[in-house]
Amino acid sequence: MFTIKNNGSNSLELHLTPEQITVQKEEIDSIIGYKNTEHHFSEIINQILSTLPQKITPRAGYVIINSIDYPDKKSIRLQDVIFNTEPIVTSQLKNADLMFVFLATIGNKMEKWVEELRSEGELANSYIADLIASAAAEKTADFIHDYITKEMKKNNMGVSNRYSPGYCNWHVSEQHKLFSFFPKNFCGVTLKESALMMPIKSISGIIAAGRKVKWNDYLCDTCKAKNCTYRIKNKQNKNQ
Amino acid sequence: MDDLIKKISYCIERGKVNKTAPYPPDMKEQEGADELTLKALDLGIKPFEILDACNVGMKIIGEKFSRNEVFVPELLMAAKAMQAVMNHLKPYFQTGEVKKKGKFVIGTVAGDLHDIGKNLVSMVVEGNGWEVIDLGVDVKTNKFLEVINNNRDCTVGLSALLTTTMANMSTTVAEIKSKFPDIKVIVGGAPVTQEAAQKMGADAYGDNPQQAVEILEHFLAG
Repeated sequence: MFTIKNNGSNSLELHLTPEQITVQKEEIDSIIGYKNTEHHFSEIINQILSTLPQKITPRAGYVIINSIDYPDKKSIRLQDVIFNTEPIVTSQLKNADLMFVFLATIGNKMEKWVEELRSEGELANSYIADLIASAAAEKTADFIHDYITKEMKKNNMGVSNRYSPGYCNWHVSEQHKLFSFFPKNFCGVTLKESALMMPIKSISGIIAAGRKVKWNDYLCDTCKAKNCTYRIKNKQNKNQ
Repeated sequence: MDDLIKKISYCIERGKVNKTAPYPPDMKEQEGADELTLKALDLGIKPFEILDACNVGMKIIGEKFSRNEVFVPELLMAAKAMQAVMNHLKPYFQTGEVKKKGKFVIGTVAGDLHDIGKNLVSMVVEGNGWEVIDLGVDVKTNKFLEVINNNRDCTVGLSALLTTTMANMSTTVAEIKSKFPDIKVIVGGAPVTQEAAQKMGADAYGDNPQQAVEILEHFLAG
């Protein structure tokens, strides 16, 4: 189903097939806000979804860290790097025996297409393609998250939800610290000075694993970001 | 003539660009904003009347968006239809026959690369008759100051999506207010609230594109 590239004893990279990443129309409807499944943009959404497999090259991977420390309630130390994760993220990643610094991407074909559509004046199509690309990137992150969960289950360890710089008050500039753990060109993703990942439709972050670690919903009630990806995801999970 | 004006307005509201556009499905093969504007100009309808008709259409779709009756794709289609009209009206703006309501400088603040919300505000404000100077994303404070200095009659809109870039938004507001106390600043974006807007010294908080238009109209009325 996928090829595994071992980069060393503590890191792993998966090359997925496009068909392993599926996005449903109902998910896109829900993100846009449509409550009815049939609306004027149904055909456009279905058309873009049908082209998705030709426009993604999903890759995902992680680096395992076992030297973990919590200097205070708002930071986590992995090896000799201190992350200023702030209280929400720190509390959700506590008691870890292992930390997975992960990366997931769908490649750059979708973002190029989104830009083409935008420059042609096809704004609605560009917007929908962009949403679908983001959803596909999340599905790729889900894939590596599920993979880690299964692997850890074999060792009787639970895993946490995943957290990324830029969310839950964890500053986006800390992407640079995360990327210091990855081998060069890991999953084909690079980081710009502004902390923007290239390809753009990529997700990086941390997942905790351990015997005392359990999965919790995102703490959206404590955050004011109304349109955050994870608030939307949380809402979708609760509606399922 | 009234009928033609109403049709243009309706095409904007529904996002009907031209005859060949398949959207919206219930208006397939009907003339759109493009053909109707040409027809109106041929019949001698004044460009400002056509622009007013567009503003009415954009206002209706903007209000529907505020009430969650339509969503971003519908708003973008309306903006596209509006663009088709503007292409025909451009020469009249250049001659001064049609005037904009004012200037609106907008950008996503430094460190933030999200542009969908900012683009929507930009398009709806433009569709309502304002000249929009869109500075894009990751806009440093100095860039805002430079553009304001060259457009002293403008109103400024700042957008942010990340909680972490709200600090940059606050800095930009403070710098603008320090250098140009008379310039009005509107802030918006997912993590921004009315309370946060007040705290950072902004003149107004816009929750959605239509609200941004209403705030601008309010400023214009003095």
